[in-house]
Amino acid sequence: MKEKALEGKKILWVEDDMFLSDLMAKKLTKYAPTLFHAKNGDEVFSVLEKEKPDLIVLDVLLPGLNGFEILKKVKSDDATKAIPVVLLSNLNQKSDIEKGAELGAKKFLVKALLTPDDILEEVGKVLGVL
Amino acid sequence: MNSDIPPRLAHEFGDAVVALAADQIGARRAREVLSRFYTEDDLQIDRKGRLTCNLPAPHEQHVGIIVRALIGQLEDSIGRKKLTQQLLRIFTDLEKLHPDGQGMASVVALLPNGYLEEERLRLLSKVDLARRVKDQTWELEKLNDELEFRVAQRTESLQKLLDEKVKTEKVLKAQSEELQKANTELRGLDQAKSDFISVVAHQLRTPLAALKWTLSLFNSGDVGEFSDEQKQYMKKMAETNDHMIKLVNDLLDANSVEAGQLSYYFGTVQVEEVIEDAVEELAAFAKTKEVALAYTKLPLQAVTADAERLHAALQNLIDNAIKYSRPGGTIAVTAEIAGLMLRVSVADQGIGIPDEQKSHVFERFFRARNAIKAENGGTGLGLFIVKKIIEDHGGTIRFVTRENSGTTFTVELPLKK
Repeated sequence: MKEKALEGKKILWVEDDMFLSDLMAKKLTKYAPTLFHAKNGDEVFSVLEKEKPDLIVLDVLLPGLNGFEILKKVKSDDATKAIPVVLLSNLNQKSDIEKGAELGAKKFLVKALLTPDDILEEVGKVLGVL
Repeated sequence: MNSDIPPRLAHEFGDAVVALAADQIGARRAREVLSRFYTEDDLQIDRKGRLTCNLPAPHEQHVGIIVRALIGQLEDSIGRKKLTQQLLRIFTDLEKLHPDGQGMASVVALLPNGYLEEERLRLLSKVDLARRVKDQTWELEKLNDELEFRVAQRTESLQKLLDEKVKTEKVLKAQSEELQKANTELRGLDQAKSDFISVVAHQLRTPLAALKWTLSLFNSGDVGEFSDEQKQYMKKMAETNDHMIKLVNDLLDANSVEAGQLSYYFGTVQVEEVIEDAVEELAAFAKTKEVALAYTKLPLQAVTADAERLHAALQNLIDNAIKYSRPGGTIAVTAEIAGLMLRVSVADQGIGIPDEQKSHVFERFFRARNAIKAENGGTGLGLFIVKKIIEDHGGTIRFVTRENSGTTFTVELPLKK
């Protein structure tokens, strides 16, 4: 992906592990998206009240509402249901992947199997900049 | 002489002769005859002129004598012929009352002398027949009693057996219940083990992902440049970390295989592409082991497969081939159509599998003794998972091997219809 390829794109990144968030933020700087970060469901919905992101990258195991529950709420609200959601988790059981697909996630990415570059490539594909 | 006449019959017989006498010679004369044996009170003549005599117990044994006295008077009065007729009538009556012949011989004995011998014999044979019937009846009764006794005995032993059976069944039922309980507990433990492995694996993956991402950032220059030596070390770290991630993934996959929940996303797959990818990914590893990895890509018919799982399976076979090759060895990967199947072979010239361990190759956690010496990194899960993946594709996997000469694994997958 080219430098500043994501300029003008709004991405809401949902991750409760601050170290992983920092690593992704660092990686994303070069591509210059507008990045919103949320650590839990409450933060997700307060961002969504003010902003309309082009993409949500969503962890599954979170304190409070889990990623599936957040995804369900996002997809059942007319204001947000068109926003593409990519699940990014360390879960990869068949049942998890099927549940994500059923709830309307675009992709199910497994953290430990991908590098940040691999993940950004998937993000770029979903945003149509690749 | 008539002491064999039983009391009850003596009455009947006596009564019959008394009645006959009273009828034929008149109640009074009969009474005169009887008064030699009876008191006046025992002999009554009722208003209709009928003689009744209560043969009291002490006199019963004398019935024969009493009767003979009456018979004598009767013979004088009515003649032998008529008396004979009358006695025969009594005989017939008694015969009806006592079919077993009781007392009938006595009647025959009373018949006047000179009575036709033929007739006497006929009557006696009748008596004899009746006695035999009686004897046989008695025999039958005896047999019947014996039979009943035996049936009772058998019934008793059967009942005993039945009781024992009920007891045994109770014990069996209790044991079966215990087994069922143990089984349920075991299943619970198995589930707990599966859940534990799943949780641990996911928890392990989070820090491993963090390491992977960090090293990737270092490597891509996002956080400044490193010296070549530093990059070399970081590359090693990244490899080690990836190996650990693979171990955790294998553990999770093996767990899923056991629980029967390995996930598949089937599509149309060109196996030659999958092999090419795997070979390319392992080229660097082959180079470090100084092994020649040869594959000539040829276009093949498609198969229905989960591309990712099939990739993992074939990569595992090639990875093993490299791992267990010696420097200078060659690995030949070939793919061809064989009838309705697509056949992929991975042949190495490595250490081979010891004969006595061949049957364990696809078992979980199995590692051949020479493999443990050659390479420490394996978990013994790879081939267990590979076999499951291939079989879940409707395919087969087999191998030929010779220790110190090499191994060839052959996978066959059904072609897309």
